[in-house]
Formats: sequence, C-alpha cells, structure tokens
Amino acid sequence: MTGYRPAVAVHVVWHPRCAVGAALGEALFGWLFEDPDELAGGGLRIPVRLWRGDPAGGPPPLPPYEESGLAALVVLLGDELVADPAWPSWLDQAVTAARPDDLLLGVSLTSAALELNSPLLDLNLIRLHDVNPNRRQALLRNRVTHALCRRLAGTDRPVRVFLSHAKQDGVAITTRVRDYLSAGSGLGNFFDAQDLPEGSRWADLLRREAAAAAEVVLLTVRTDGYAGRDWCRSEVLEAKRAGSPIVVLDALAGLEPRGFRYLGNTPAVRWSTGRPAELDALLGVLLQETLRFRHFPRRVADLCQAYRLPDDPRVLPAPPELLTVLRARDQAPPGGRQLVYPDPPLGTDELALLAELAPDLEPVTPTGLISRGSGR
Amino acid sequence: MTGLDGLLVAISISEPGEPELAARGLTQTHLRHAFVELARQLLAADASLSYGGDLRTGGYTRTLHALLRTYRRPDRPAAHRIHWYLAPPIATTVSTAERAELAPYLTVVTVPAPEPAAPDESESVSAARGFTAMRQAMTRDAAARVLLGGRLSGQAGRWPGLIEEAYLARKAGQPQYLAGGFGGATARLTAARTGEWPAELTTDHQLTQAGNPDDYQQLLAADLPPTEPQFLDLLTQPPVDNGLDDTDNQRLATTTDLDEINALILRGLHHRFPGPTV
Repeated sequence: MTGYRPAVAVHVVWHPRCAVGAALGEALFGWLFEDPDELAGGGLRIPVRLWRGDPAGGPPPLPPYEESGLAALVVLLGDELVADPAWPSWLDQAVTAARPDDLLLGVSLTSAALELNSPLLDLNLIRLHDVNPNRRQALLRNRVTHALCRRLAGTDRPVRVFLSHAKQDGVAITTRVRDYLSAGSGLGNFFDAQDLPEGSRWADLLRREAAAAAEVVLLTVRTDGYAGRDWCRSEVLEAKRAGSPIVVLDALAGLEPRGFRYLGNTPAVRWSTGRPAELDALLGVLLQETLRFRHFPRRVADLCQAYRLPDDPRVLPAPPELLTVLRARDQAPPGGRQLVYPDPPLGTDELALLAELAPDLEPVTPTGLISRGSGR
Repeated sequence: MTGLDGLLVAISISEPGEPELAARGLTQTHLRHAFVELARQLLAADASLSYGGDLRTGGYTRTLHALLRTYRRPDRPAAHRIHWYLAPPIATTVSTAERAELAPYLTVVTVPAPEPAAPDESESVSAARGFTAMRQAMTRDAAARVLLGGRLSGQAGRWPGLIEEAYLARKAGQPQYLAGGFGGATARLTAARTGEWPAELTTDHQLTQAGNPDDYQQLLAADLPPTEPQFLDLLTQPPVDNGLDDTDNQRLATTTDLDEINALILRGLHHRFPGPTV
C-alpha cells in the first residue's frame, strides 16, 4: 500500500464554549460523511473532523491538511471565538498553513465576526449571522457542499439542472423551483436550471451541452400526473442509463394510479408549500447528489492506486439496481467483474437478486474492494 | 466470493475520553459510526461478533437488530451471530424481560461470578475479578479481537478494560487489530509495540488516576494478574500474525479515516482466516 490519502477532507473548527458550534459541526459530519443512525446509509463518506479545542478554552491543533489531497477548513466565528485573544494568531496560522488549492471558509455566527482582523475574512465568508436561526444549518450545509462541488469539478461551469414535469399539473411548482435555483438560491450562476423540453432525448441533450453524464442533473417534479406521461418516463430511463444524478421532488397530492417502476433509488424531497425551508432542503439534496457523482469515482480511483488494485472496475455512485447493473454489465471491460458502489454493503436479499440478474458481476463496496484485494 | 463463515470476532470499542477525541478532531459521533459500521461490515462479511460492554447504551441493541435483518443468513439464526457477554456486575442489571426481548437476536452469555479468592474479599476486588472472568470468556470463544479507543483510567479493575483485553488476547495467541487513530488505550498499546512504554500503563499512574485510591490499593493487595512486569513482557513481544503486513498495521494504528479502519480490519481477517467460497 502506498499510503491512502482521501481526495478531500473537511475540518470544522469552533470555540469550545460556542453553544451552537457542536450542533453545526455534527450536522456537517452527518451531511458530508454519514449519519450513523441512518442505517440505509447514503452518506458521501467525505471525512469530516471536528476541532473544538481545549475545554479550558485554548484553540485546537492546526488541522492536518496534508492528510488529504484537498482540505476544506470551515471556521465557525461566534462571539466566544471573536472575544478570545488566543484565537487571532491561530486563524493566521491556519490560513498560512493552507496549500493553494485548499478551501478556506469563514462562517459568521455573529456580526462581530465582520470586525475580525483576519485574512480568513478576505476569502470566502458565509454570512449566517443575519440569517434566521431556523435556516442556518441548511444554509451552512448548502454553502459548504456548493464550495466542494466547484472545487472538485475543477471548472466554473454551472451545474446544469433539467426539470422534468408533467404539463397537466407540474407547471406551477416547476416554475417556482426553477426561479429559486436560477436566482434565489444565493449561489450565483452555479445552477443553470431549465425545463426539459418535452421529447428531448437525454443522450442528445448531453451531446448538445457537451457535458459528462455526471455534470447534468435530472430533477423530476413528481406530481400525480407525472408517471402517466411517456416522455417523463423516458427521461428518467435515459438519465439513469447515462449515469446522471437524479433527484425527485415529491409533489404527490392525491392519487398516482401506478408509480413509475424506475424512479426509485434516488433521493426524494417532499414538496408542501414551497416555502424557503423546503427550497433550501431541495437545493441541499441537489448539491449533495452532484457532489456524490463527482466525488465517488475519484475516491475509488485513489483507493485503487493506494492499495495497488486493478484500476478498471465499473463504478456506480449510487447503490446498484436493475437498470444500472444491466448498463454496467453491457459496458464492463473484458474480464472486469467488479462493480464498485458506495458503502454500506447491500443486504442479503438485494445481493441475491443481483446475483440472479448478473452472475458474472461482483458488486462490491470500497471497503470490500480493499479488504478482498491482495495488493501486496 | 469468500466470506468469513461465522468467524467470531470480539469487539473492544469504547470511549477514550474527551481530551483524546478533541485532540484528534473526533467526537462521540465518530465513535458511534465506527462501532455501527464495523458491526455492519462484519455481519455483511458473514462473520459473527461478540461484545462485553453495555449494548443498551446508545440504543445499540436496536441498531444491531436492524443490521441482523439486513444481513441475515438463512442457514444461521440471528441469535448465533451476536454474542453479548455480561460481567457479573452488569448481569444483575439486565432484567428477565430484557433478556426475553433480546433472545431472538442476541445470545446473552452470563459469566458467573468467580468464587471469592479470600473470605473477606472486598466488593471492588470481586467486581474486578468478575470483569476479568468476562474478558477471559470472550477471549476463549473468539477467533480475533478488534480494539479501538478505550479509557485510560477510572476502570473497575487493575488495568483499563481494553488493555486487559489486549493482554488476554495476546496471551491466548489471538490475532488483534489495533485501530489507534481514536487515541485512548488502543493508541497506547500501539505505542507500546514500538518500544515507547506509555506512562499511563504503569501501576503508579493508575493509582494516581483511580477514582477511589483505597479500592485500587485493594486490587493491588489482591495481586490480581497481570502484574506490571507480566504486562510489559507480554505486550512487547512480537504481535500474532493478523493477516496484515507491517505497513497495513502501521496504517491501522494511526488512521482516523473511518472507512479505511474497517477496510483494513476486514482485509486482515480475510487474509488471516481465508474461508470457504460462499
């Protein structure tokens, strides 16, 4: 083994007496790594370290940036930190120690943070002090995820989000969401949100956009009439076949006579009234799914290199299902059996089903890949 | 595909203390994830696991029940896959109703209290011997042991629990996986292997840190094994082959990456115990 370094790691820092610091830090851990109580998994497994310093009040050690390819430092600037004379020099050292590609994010929890004399404020500042406390956690998650998405992509091109909806009952919701993503999300032009023209072929759209499948997100507005529309079903099938991320906005109001068979295995956000908190949640999931599709292939590649494993496994950023396994089987390189998907491992029943469908493929998670490989 | 075919792995994961966690940018949530994920990966790999702490703390019984359903094996009853060892002081706190509730998916092993070594044996000495008896039973039944975290003082016995477990495992020639990235007792054990004998693993230090020095003096007076020289001698011997090479063991000793920790442990187990193809 040549020494594995994760592609990215996040270091969240707060003053030990900052009451909200722990809650915000833990929220970022659950969002970017995984909530240990969410047994279905689905976490991004991006390492998150939570630095709160000495309970007597001293700053923590400087985060070990060098342990990852890219480090993101998130400093929660509350009153306690601003008022503590031990922290300005720590902030200076933390900024100085960062490498050119590392991400430095200050987060103002108090207006007093704006008066800090620190180079951290010259960089990216996430202003939470003038945000409704009920929205702070979601906004922090979204801003940090957005920053990671852009840094990992290595491009400033916006993420293209195409909204698929049924004209009979999905227009109003789609308009509201599109307007929020385009102008109301606070992310500038990070998203380019458009309605998906009816009749469009996903593959043609990717070609027209000159985009990789992972750079284009399909957002399905699932109203009562959605599953009954041929074009809506085709869009989902094609996006899945292409390997594009999909997010479902669940706006069912009454009866959906029969759900579309292939709309599962995606994150789904419930639509109620379209109030800001719901839109924040939707935005968060879009960002998280975008980050997943960008991060996971890199993580697998890094692990294969570090552990000297064959570097040509098929990679699925989401757990395997019927459609994606068929695609992987058709596209597998000669002799290539392994199909790598995110931890946690699938359960007994699902693995048995996949074995029936594609006995020549071996679904395995990164943990399984390392543990089974010889690499010596 | 090769599974671990019912291999029983003892898990020693516990809180190393807030200063140890804070110094590494880790929290109780990281520790919780480490426990849940290790249990999951072992069950998914067809292994069985044993634990000697209080599973009721933190709702682990419910979590393990859910994991057993997800990774069930038609040929192996759920209850055979998780073994919960109860030291006498803990056993008395588990009610009959709780045992009945747990029976379908856990095997509860109640370790009997050892006979008093002396007519006037104190409660503290009896409790310490009870925990030792539990650890001996776990070691006897398991094929390997995983250690992570672990407090450095304030325990019921002469030595911190994880330290005693490591000692017993080594004495039995059992492979161990020392995940030292969370600090605590496990990190001190990995340091001990490199020749830097930690100050915390001395009788003098344990006495100064004891919650009740009088009780600790009684433990010393009862001469409960291991003595410090026995301890030093055994734990500085070459480790038992655990299927990992030196590089992987060094990595396991230091990494805080939760996924890498589990991957290395599983890697070692698969290499050390190559099972039949399933």
